[in-house]
Amino acid sequence: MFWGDDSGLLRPPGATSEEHFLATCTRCMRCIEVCPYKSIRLGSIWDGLSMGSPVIRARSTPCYLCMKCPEVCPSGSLMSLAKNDVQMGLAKVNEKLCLAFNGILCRTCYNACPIFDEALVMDDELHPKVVTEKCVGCGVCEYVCPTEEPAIVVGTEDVSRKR
Amino acid sequence: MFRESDRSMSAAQTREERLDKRRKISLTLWRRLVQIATLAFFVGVPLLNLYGVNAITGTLYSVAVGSLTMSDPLVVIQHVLAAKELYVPLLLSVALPVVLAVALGPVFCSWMCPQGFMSELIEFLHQRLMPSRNTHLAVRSGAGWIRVKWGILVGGLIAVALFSLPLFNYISAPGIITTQLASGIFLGTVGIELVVIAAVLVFEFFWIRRGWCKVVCPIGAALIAMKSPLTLRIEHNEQHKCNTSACKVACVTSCQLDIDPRNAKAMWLCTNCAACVDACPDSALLFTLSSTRFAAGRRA
Repeated sequence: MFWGDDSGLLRPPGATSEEHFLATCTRCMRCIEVCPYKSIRLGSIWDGLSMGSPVIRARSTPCYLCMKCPEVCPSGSLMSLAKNDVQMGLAKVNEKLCLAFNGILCRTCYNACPIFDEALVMDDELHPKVVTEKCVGCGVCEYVCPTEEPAIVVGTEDVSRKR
Repeated sequence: MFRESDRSMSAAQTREERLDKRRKISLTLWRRLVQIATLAFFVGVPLLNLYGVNAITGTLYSVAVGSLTMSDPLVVIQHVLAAKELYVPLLLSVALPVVLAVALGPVFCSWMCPQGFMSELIEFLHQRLMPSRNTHLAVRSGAGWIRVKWGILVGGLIAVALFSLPLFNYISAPGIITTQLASGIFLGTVGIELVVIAAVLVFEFFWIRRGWCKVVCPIGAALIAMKSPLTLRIEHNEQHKCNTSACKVACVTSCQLDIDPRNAKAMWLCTNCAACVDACPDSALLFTLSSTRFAAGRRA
Protein backbone atom coordinates (compact mmCIF):
# COMPACT_ATOMS: atom_id res chain seq x y z
CA MET A 1 0.00 0.00 0.00
CA PHE A 2 1.10 3.56 -0.54
CA TRP A 3 2.04 4.25 3.07
CA GLY A 4 4.94 1.89 2.69
CA ASP A 5 5.80 -1.44 4.14
CA ASP A 6 7.62 -0.30 7.26
CA SER A 7 5.85 1.29 10.19
CA GLY A 8 9.03 1.14 12.27
CA LEU A 9 7.11 -0.76 14.95
CA LEU A 10 8.05 -4.11 16.44
CA ARG A 11 5.22 -6.59 15.96
CA PRO A 12 4.65 -9.72 18.04
CA PRO A 13 6.78 -12.70 16.95
CA GLY A 14 5.54 -14.56 13.89
CA ALA A 15 3.95 -11.47 12.35
CA THR A 16 3.55 -11.54 8.59
CA SER A 17 4.73 -8.63 6.42
CA GLU A 18 3.69 -5.23 7.75
CA GLU A 19 1.25 -4.67 4.89
CA HIS A 20 -0.36 -8.09 5.34
CA PHE A 21 -0.35 -7.71 9.10
CA LEU A 22 -2.17 -4.36 9.04
CA ALA A 23 -4.73 -5.72 6.57
CA THR A 24 -5.48 -8.94 8.44
CA CYS A 25 -5.09 -8.18 12.15
CA THR A 26 -8.58 -8.08 13.68
CA ARG A 27 -7.38 -5.99 16.68
CA CYS A 28 -9.02 -8.60 18.92
CA MET A 29 -6.24 -8.30 21.54
CA ARG A 30 -5.94 -12.01 22.13
CA CYS A 31 -2.15 -11.91 21.64
CA ILE A 32 -2.00 -9.10 24.20
CA GLU A 33 -4.09 -11.05 26.70
CA VAL A 34 -1.99 -14.23 26.57
CA CYS A 35 1.37 -12.46 26.87
CA PRO A 36 2.65 -13.32 30.36
CA TYR A 37 5.04 -10.32 30.37
CA LYS A 38 2.58 -7.74 29.02
CA SER A 39 5.17 -7.09 26.34
CA ILE A 40 2.52 -6.56 23.68
CA ARG A 41 0.81 -3.18 23.92
CA LEU A 42 -1.90 -1.43 21.92
CA GLY A 43 -0.71 1.01 19.26
CA SER A 44 -1.66 4.56 20.24
CA ILE A 45 -2.79 7.46 18.09
CA TRP A 46 0.89 8.44 17.64
CA ASP A 47 1.37 5.21 15.74
CA GLY A 48 -1.01 6.43 13.05
CA LEU A 49 -2.75 3.64 11.20
CA SER A 50 -1.33 1.13 13.68
CA MET A 51 -3.57 2.57 16.39
CA GLY A 52 -5.29 -0.32 18.14
CA SER A 53 -2.96 -2.95 16.70
CA PRO A 54 -0.46 -4.93 18.79
CA VAL A 55 3.05 -3.47 19.12
CA ILE A 56 6.09 -4.23 21.25
CA ARG A 57 8.06 -1.38 22.78
CA ALA A 58 11.34 -3.06 23.53
CA ARG A 59 12.72 -0.36 25.83
CA SER A 60 9.71 -0.72 28.20
CA THR A 61 9.19 -4.48 27.90
CA PRO A 62 10.87 -6.66 25.27
CA CYS A 63 9.62 -9.95 23.86
CA TYR A 64 10.87 -12.99 25.76
CA LEU A 65 9.99 -15.32 22.87
CA CYS A 66 7.61 -17.57 24.83
CA MET A 67 5.73 -17.93 21.52
CA LYS A 68 2.28 -18.08 23.08
CA CYS A 69 0.79 -15.30 20.95
CA PRO A 70 0.94 -16.85 17.46
CA GLU A 71 -1.06 -19.80 18.74
CA VAL A 72 -4.10 -17.69 19.67
CA CYS A 73 -4.14 -15.39 16.63
CA PRO A 74 -7.49 -16.03 14.87
CA SER A 75 -6.64 -14.29 11.61
CA GLY A 76 -3.28 -15.68 10.50
CA SER A 77 -1.59 -12.35 11.19
CA LEU A 78 0.82 -14.15 13.52
CA MET A 79 2.11 -17.50 12.28
CA SER A 80 3.50 -20.15 14.62
CA LEU A 81 7.24 -20.70 14.21
CA ALA A 82 10.32 -21.68 16.19
CA LYS A 83 11.78 -18.87 18.27
CA ASN A 84 15.08 -18.97 16.37
CA ASP A 85 13.19 -18.23 13.12
CA VAL A 86 11.50 -15.10 14.45
CA GLN A 87 12.21 -11.91 12.51
CA MET A 88 10.74 -9.04 14.45
CA GLY A 89 13.58 -6.66 13.79
CA LEU A 90 17.32 -6.32 13.87
CA ALA A 91 19.51 -4.98 16.67
CA LYS A 92 22.07 -2.29 15.86
CA VAL A 93 24.88 -1.08 18.11
CA ASN A 94 25.46 2.64 18.39
CA GLU A 95 29.25 2.74 18.87
CA LYS A 96 29.21 6.34 20.11
CA LEU A 97 26.98 5.46 23.07
CA CYS A 98 28.03 1.87 23.77
CA LEU A 99 30.08 1.61 26.97
CA ALA A 100 32.19 -1.26 25.58
CA PHE A 101 33.25 0.97 22.70
CA ASN A 102 34.14 3.72 25.18
CA GLY A 103 36.63 1.79 27.23
CA ILE A 104 34.28 0.55 29.94
CA LEU A 105 33.84 -3.18 30.46
CA CYS A 106 30.17 -3.95 29.76
CA ARG A 107 28.58 -7.11 28.41
CA THR A 108 25.03 -6.60 29.66
CA CYS A 109 23.40 -7.12 26.27
CA TYR A 110 25.61 -10.09 25.44
CA ASN A 111 24.65 -11.80 28.70
CA ALA A 112 20.94 -11.14 28.29
CA CYS A 113 20.49 -12.16 24.65
CA PRO A 114 18.11 -15.17 24.50
CA ILE A 115 19.85 -16.49 21.37
CA PHE A 116 22.95 -16.61 23.57
CA ASP A 117 26.35 -16.25 21.95
CA GLU A 118 24.83 -16.66 18.50
CA ALA A 119 22.85 -13.51 17.72
CA LEU A 120 25.10 -11.26 19.76
CA VAL A 121 28.79 -12.05 20.14
CA MET A 122 31.76 -10.30 21.72
CA ASP A 123 34.58 -9.72 19.27
CA ASP A 124 38.31 -9.89 20.01
CA GLU A 125 38.26 -6.36 21.45
CA LEU A 126 35.27 -7.24 23.71
CA HIS A 127 32.88 -5.11 21.67
CA PRO A 128 29.34 -6.47 21.16
CA LYS A 129 28.62 -7.47 17.57
CA VAL A 130 25.20 -8.36 16.13
CA VAL A 131 25.07 -11.42 13.89
CA THR A 132 22.38 -10.32 11.44
CA GLU A 133 21.48 -13.83 10.30
CA LYS A 134 20.77 -14.94 13.88
CA CYS A 135 19.25 -11.84 15.52
CA VAL A 136 15.46 -12.23 15.95
CA GLY A 137 14.81 -8.66 17.07
CA CYS A 138 13.23 -9.50 20.42
CA GLY A 139 14.63 -6.34 21.97
CA VAL A 140 16.00 -7.83 25.21
CA CYS A 141 19.37 -6.16 24.51
CA GLU A 142 17.71 -2.77 24.03
CA TYR A 143 15.81 -3.30 27.28
CA VAL A 144 18.84 -4.15 29.42
CA CYS A 145 21.28 -1.62 27.95
CA PRO A 146 22.50 0.48 30.92
CA THR A 147 23.11 3.74 29.06
CA GLU A 148 20.44 6.43 29.38
CA GLU A 149 19.69 6.35 25.69
CA PRO A 150 20.03 2.70 24.65
CA ALA A 151 23.24 2.05 22.75
CA ILE A 152 21.72 -0.99 21.09
CA VAL A 153 18.36 -0.51 19.38
CA VAL A 154 16.13 -2.88 17.45
CA GLY A 155 14.94 -1.47 14.14
CA THR A 156 12.73 -2.89 11.41
CA GLU A 157 14.27 -1.23 8.33
CA ASP A 158 16.48 -4.12 7.27
CA VAL A 159 13.98 -6.86 8.02
CA SER A 160 11.51 -8.27 5.56
CA ARG A 161 9.09 -10.53 7.35
CA LYS A 162 7.83 -13.52 5.45
CA ARG A 163 4.57 -13.40 3.42
CA MET B 1 -70.45 4.46 22.13
CA PHE B 2 -67.40 2.25 21.77
CA ARG B 3 -65.76 4.14 24.55
CA GLU B 4 -68.25 2.64 26.99
CA SER B 5 -67.76 -0.85 25.67
CA ASP B 6 -64.04 -0.27 25.95
CA ARG B 7 -64.32 0.67 29.58
CA SER B 8 -66.42 -2.37 30.42
CA MET B 9 -64.00 -4.55 28.52
CA SER B 10 -60.99 -3.17 30.33
CA ALA B 11 -62.78 -3.64 33.66
CA ALA B 12 -63.41 -7.25 32.83
CA GLN B 13 -59.85 -7.75 31.74
CA THR B 14 -58.05 -6.17 34.67
CA ARG B 15 -57.02 -9.43 36.26
CA GLU B 16 -55.97 -10.94 32.98
CA GLU B 17 -54.13 -7.77 32.07
CA ARG B 18 -52.29 -7.74 35.32
CA LEU B 19 -51.22 -11.33 34.81
CA ASP B 20 -50.27 -10.48 31.25
CA LYS B 21 -48.17 -7.56 32.34
CA ARG B 22 -46.26 -9.66 34.81
CA ARG B 23 -45.45 -12.13 32.08
CA LYS B 24 -44.55 -9.41 29.63
CA ILE B 25 -42.25 -7.39 31.82
CA SER B 26 -40.09 -10.45 32.15
CA LEU B 27 -39.02 -10.18 28.49
CA THR B 28 -37.32 -6.84 29.07
CA LEU B 29 -36.01 -8.14 32.36
CA TRP B 30 -34.48 -11.13 30.60
CA ARG B 31 -32.96 -8.83 28.04
CA ARG B 32 -31.39 -6.67 30.75
CA LEU B 33 -29.94 -9.75 32.37
CA VAL B 34 -28.40 -10.89 29.07
CA GLN B 35 -27.02 -7.40 28.43
CA ILE B 36 -25.46 -7.24 31.89
CA ALA B 37 -24.09 -10.76 31.53
CA THR B 38 -22.48 -9.84 28.18
CA LEU B 39 -20.86 -6.74 29.66
CA ALA B 40 -19.72 -8.78 32.67
CA PHE B 41 -18.21 -11.30 30.28
CA PHE B 42 -16.08 -8.67 28.55
CA VAL B 43 -14.98 -7.33 31.94
CA GLY B 44 -14.30 -10.84 33.22
CA VAL B 45 -12.14 -12.02 30.30
CA PRO B 46 -9.26 -9.54 30.81
CA LEU B 47 -9.57 -10.03 34.58
CA LEU B 48 -9.07 -13.78 34.15
CA ASN B 49 -6.21 -13.12 31.74
CA LEU B 50 -4.65 -10.85 34.35
CA TYR B 51 -4.53 -13.83 36.71
CA GLY B 52 -3.03 -16.06 34.05
CA VAL B 53 -6.21 -17.89 33.04
CA ASN B 54 -6.12 -17.96 29.26
CA ALA B 55 -8.96 -20.39 28.53
CA ILE B 56 -11.06 -17.41 27.47
CA THR B 57 -9.45 -14.61 25.49
CA GLY B 58 -10.51 -11.89 23.15
CA THR B 59 -12.88 -9.01 22.62
CA LEU B 60 -15.97 -8.43 20.52
CA TYR B 61 -13.91 -8.63 17.31
CA SER B 62 -12.93 -12.20 18.04
CA VAL B 63 -13.32 -14.21 21.21
CA ALA B 64 -12.24 -17.74 22.06
CA VAL B 65 -13.78 -19.91 24.74
CA GLY B 66 -11.52 -22.93 24.96
CA SER B 67 -11.06 -24.07 21.38
CA LEU B 68 -14.30 -22.46 20.17
CA THR B 69 -13.55 -19.18 18.39
CA MET B 70 -16.26 -16.71 17.47
CA SER B 71 -15.65 -13.63 15.37
CA ASP B 72 -17.62 -10.54 14.47
CA PRO B 73 -19.02 -11.09 10.94
CA LEU B 74 -18.01 -7.57 9.92
CA VAL B 75 -14.43 -8.22 11.01
CA VAL B 76 -14.34 -11.30 8.78
CA ILE B 77 -15.83 -9.46 5.80
CA GLN B 78 -13.19 -6.76 6.30
CA HIS B 79 -10.45 -9.38 6.51
CA VAL B 80 -11.52 -10.92 3.20
CA LEU B 81 -11.75 -7.53 1.47
CA ALA B 82 -8.57 -6.03 2.92
CA ALA B 83 -6.29 -9.06 2.57
CA LYS B 84 -8.01 -10.41 -0.56
CA GLU B 85 -7.60 -13.91 0.74
CA LEU B 86 -9.70 -16.56 2.47
CA TYR B 87 -8.28 -17.68 5.78
CA VAL B 88 -10.27 -20.77 6.70
CA PRO B 89 -9.96 -20.70 10.54
CA LEU B 90 -11.29 -17.15 10.60
CA LEU B 91 -14.10 -17.99 8.17
CA LEU B 92 -15.15 -20.92 10.38
CA SER B 93 -15.17 -18.73 13.48
CA VAL B 94 -17.99 -16.66 12.02
CA ALA B 95 -20.37 -19.63 11.71
CA LEU B 96 -21.99 -19.41 15.13
CA PRO B 97 -22.67 -15.65 15.06
CA VAL B 98 -24.12 -15.96 11.55
CA VAL B 99 -26.37 -18.87 12.55
CA LEU B 100 -27.56 -16.83 15.54
CA ALA B 101 -28.33 -13.83 13.32
CA VAL B 102 -30.11 -15.88 10.64
CA ALA B 103 -32.18 -17.82 13.17
CA LEU B 104 -33.03 -15.17 15.76
CA GLY B 105 -32.44 -11.93 13.85
CA PRO B 106 -30.15 -9.11 15.01
CA VAL B 107 -30.61 -10.12 18.66
CA PHE B 108 -26.96 -9.32 19.15
CA CYS B 109 -27.86 -5.62 18.81
CA SER B 110 -30.71 -5.61 21.28
CA TRP B 111 -29.75 -8.36 23.72
CA MET B 112 -25.94 -8.32 23.85
CA CYS B 113 -24.24 -5.30 22.30
CA PRO B 114 -22.53 -3.20 24.99
CA GLN B 115 -22.96 -0.05 22.91
CA GLY B 116 -26.69 -0.78 22.54
CA PHE B 117 -26.88 -1.21 26.31
CA MET B 118 -25.13 2.14 26.83
CA SER B 119 -27.37 3.80 24.25
CA GLU B 120 -30.42 2.61 26.16
CA LEU B 121 -28.91 3.96 29.36
CA ILE B 122 -28.33 7.33 27.68
CA GLU B 123 -31.93 7.33 26.45
CA PHE B 124 -33.11 6.57 29.99
CA LEU B 125 -31.02 9.49 31.32
CA HIS B 126 -32.32 11.72 28.56
CA GLN B 127 -35.91 10.98 29.52
CA ARG B 128 -35.13 11.54 33.20
CA LEU B 129 -33.14 14.75 32.81
CA MET B 130 -35.12 16.47 30.08
CA PRO B 131 -38.62 15.05 30.24
CA SER B 132 -40.36 18.23 29.15
CA ARG B 133 -38.06 19.36 26.39
CA ASN B 134 -37.94 17.24 23.31
CA THR B 135 -34.37 17.99 22.33
CA HIS B 136 -34.20 14.95 20.14
CA LEU B 137 -34.51 15.36 16.47
CA ALA B 138 -37.86 13.83 15.72
CA VAL B 139 -37.17 10.67 13.79
CA ARG B 140 -40.33 8.81 13.04
CA SER B 141 -39.38 6.95 9.93
CA GLY B 142 -36.65 4.50 10.75
CA ALA B 143 -36.51 3.64 7.07
CA GLY B 144 -35.03 7.01 6.04
CA TRP B 145 -32.01 6.62 8.27
CA ILE B 146 -31.17 3.14 7.10
CA ARG B 147 -29.94 4.68 3.85
CA VAL B 148 -27.20 6.49 5.77
CA LYS B 149 -26.35 3.23 7.50
CA TRP B 150 -26.19 1.31 4.22
CA GLY B 151 -24.02 4.10 2.83
CA ILE B 152 -21.59 3.79 5.72
CA LEU B 153 -21.47 -0.01 5.41
CA VAL B 154 -21.08 -0.20 1.63
CA GLY B 155 -18.85 2.87 1.30
CA GLY B 156 -16.76 1.68 4.22
CA LEU B 157 -16.30 -1.79 2.74
CA ILE B 158 -15.19 -0.30 -0.59
CA ALA B 159 -12.65 1.82 1.31
CA VAL B 160 -11.53 -1.25 3.26
CA ALA B 161 -10.78 -3.04 -0.03
CA LEU B 162 -9.07 0.05 -1.53
CA PHE B 163 -6.86 0.86 1.45
CA SER B 164 -6.34 -2.76 2.60
CA LEU B 165 -7.11 -1.77 6.18
CA PRO B 166 -9.95 -2.84 8.52
CA LEU B 167 -11.16 0.76 8.74
CA PHE B 168 -14.34 0.02 10.71
CA ASN B 169 -12.21 -0.97 13.70
CA TYR B 170 -11.20 2.69 14.15
CA ILE B 171 -14.82 3.73 14.73
CA SER B 172 -16.65 0.59 15.84
CA ALA B 173 -18.17 1.71 19.15
CA PRO B 174 -19.11 -1.78 20.43
CA GLY B 175 -15.66 -3.10 19.56
CA ILE B 176 -13.93 -0.12 21.13
CA ILE B 177 -15.86 -0.56 24.38
CA THR B 178 -14.61 -4.12 24.71
CA THR B 179 -11.02 -3.45 23.56
CA GLN B 180 -10.70 -0.45 25.87
CA LEU B 181 -12.13 -2.48 28.75
CA ALA B 182 -9.52 -5.16 28.05
CA SER B 183 -6.79 -2.53 27.67
CA GLY B 184 -7.76 -0.73 30.87
CA ILE B 185 -8.06 -3.91 32.93
CA PHE B 186 -5.19 -5.93 31.46
CA LEU B 187 -2.64 -3.30 30.44
CA GLY B 188 -3.74 -0.51 32.77
CA THR B 189 -3.97 2.08 30.00
CA VAL B 190 -6.74 3.39 27.78
CA GLY B 191 -6.48 5.05 24.40
CA ILE B 192 -7.83 7.98 22.43
CA GLU B 193 -10.44 5.60 20.97
CA LEU B 194 -12.61 6.42 23.97
CA VAL B 195 -13.32 9.75 22.24
CA VAL B 196 -15.48 7.77 19.80
CA ILE B 197 -17.58 6.45 22.68
CA ALA B 198 -17.91 9.93 24.20
CA ALA B 199 -18.90 11.38 20.82
CA VAL B 200 -21.53 8.67 20.30
CA LEU B 201 -23.03 9.32 23.74
CA VAL B 202 -23.19 13.09 23.18
CA PHE B 203 -24.67 12.53 19.72
CA GLU B 204 -27.35 10.27 21.15
CA PHE B 205 -28.12 12.41 24.17
CA PHE B 206 -28.49 15.68 22.32
CA TRP B 207 -29.33 14.85 18.77
CA ILE B 208 -30.79 11.52 17.73
CA ARG B 209 -31.93 8.93 20.22
CA ARG B 210 -30.20 5.61 19.70
CA GLY B 211 -28.33 7.43 16.93
CA TRP B 212 -25.42 5.00 16.76
CA CYS B 213 -27.71 1.99 16.35
CA LYS B 214 -30.08 3.72 13.97
CA VAL B 215 -27.86 5.81 11.75
CA VAL B 216 -24.26 4.59 11.96
CA CYS B 217 -23.62 1.05 13.15
CA PRO B 218 -22.14 -1.00 10.29
CA ILE B 219 -22.31 -4.20 12.37
CA GLY B 220 -26.04 -3.71 12.85
CA ALA B 221 -26.47 -3.09 9.13
CA ALA B 222 -24.61 -6.31 8.33
CA LEU B 223 -26.76 -8.25 10.81
CA ILE B 224 -29.99 -6.82 9.36
CA ALA B 225 -28.79 -7.89 5.92
CA MET B 226 -28.65 -11.46 7.20
CA LYS B 227 -32.40 -11.59 7.86
CA SER B 228 -34.18 -14.30 5.92
CA PRO B 229 -37.86 -15.25 5.59
CA LEU B 230 -37.21 -17.91 8.23
CA THR B 231 -35.77 -15.50 10.80
CA LEU B 232 -37.55 -15.00 14.11
CA ARG B 233 -39.53 -11.80 14.02
CA ILE B 234 -42.19 -9.87 15.90
CA GLU B 235 -45.48 -9.80 14.09
CA HIS B 236 -48.62 -7.81 14.61
CA ASN B 237 -51.94 -9.60 14.61
CA GLU B 238 -53.79 -7.71 11.90
CA GLN B 239 -57.20 -8.74 13.15
CA HIS B 240 -56.48 -6.96 16.38
CA LYS B 241 -58.16 -3.61 16.88
CA CYS B 242 -55.53 -1.10 17.97
CA ASN B 243 -55.99 2.49 19.14
CA THR B 244 -58.24 1.56 22.03
CA SER B 245 -57.97 3.60 25.19
CA ALA B 246 -55.87 0.88 26.80
CA CYS B 247 -53.56 0.72 23.81
CA LYS B 248 -52.83 4.33 22.82
CA VAL B 249 -50.40 2.85 20.31
CA ALA B 250 -48.10 1.95 23.17
CA CYS B 251 -45.94 -0.15 20.86
CA VAL B 252 -44.95 2.81 18.69
CA THR B 253 -43.88 4.94 21.65
CA SER B 254 -42.02 2.03 23.20
CA CYS B 255 -39.80 1.48 20.17
CA GLN B 256 -36.55 3.37 20.64
CA LEU B 257 -35.59 2.69 17.06
CA ASP B 258 -38.74 4.54 15.95
CA ILE B 259 -40.25 1.66 14.05
CA ASP B 260 -44.02 1.20 13.97
CA PRO B 261 -44.37 -2.48 14.94
CA ARG B 262 -47.75 -2.66 13.19
CA ASN B 263 -46.08 -1.88 9.88
CA ALA B 264 -44.71 -5.17 8.61
CA LYS B 265 -42.62 -3.43 5.95
CA ALA B 266 -40.81 -1.21 8.45
CA MET B 267 -40.20 -4.17 10.75
CA TRP B 268 -37.26 -5.43 8.72
CA LEU B 269 -35.22 -2.88 10.70
CA CYS B 270 -36.38 -4.43 13.97
CA THR B 271 -33.73 -5.97 16.22
CA ASN B 272 -36.17 -8.14 18.25
CA CYS B 273 -35.69 -6.24 21.51
CA ALA B 274 -39.35 -6.98 22.32
CA ALA B 275 -40.04 -3.62 23.99
CA CYS B 276 -43.21 -3.38 21.89
CA VAL B 277 -44.29 -6.88 22.92
CA ASP B 278 -43.95 -5.76 26.53
CA ALA B 279 -45.78 -2.49 25.88
CA CYS B 280 -48.77 -3.90 24.00
CA PRO B 281 -51.65 -4.28 26.48
CA ASP B 282 -53.57 -6.69 24.27
CA SER B 283 -50.94 -9.26 23.22
CA ALA B 284 -51.35 -8.18 19.62
CA LEU B 285 -47.59 -8.36 19.09
CA LEU B 286 -45.83 -11.67 19.38
CA PHE B 287 -42.62 -13.34 18.32
CA THR B 288 -43.25 -15.38 15.21
CA LEU B 289 -41.28 -18.08 13.48
CA SER B 290 -42.08 -18.85 9.91
CA SER B 291 -43.65 -22.20 10.80
CA THR B 292 -46.20 -20.62 13.12
CA ARG B 293 -46.84 -17.96 10.51
CA PHE B 294 -47.67 -20.57 7.91
CA ALA B 295 -49.94 -22.34 10.39
CA ALA B 296 -51.78 -19.09 11.10
CA GLY B 297 -52.15 -18.50 7.38
CA ARG B 298 -53.67 -21.91 6.88
CA ARG B 299 -56.09 -21.39 9.72
CA ALA B 300 -57.27 -18.13 8.18
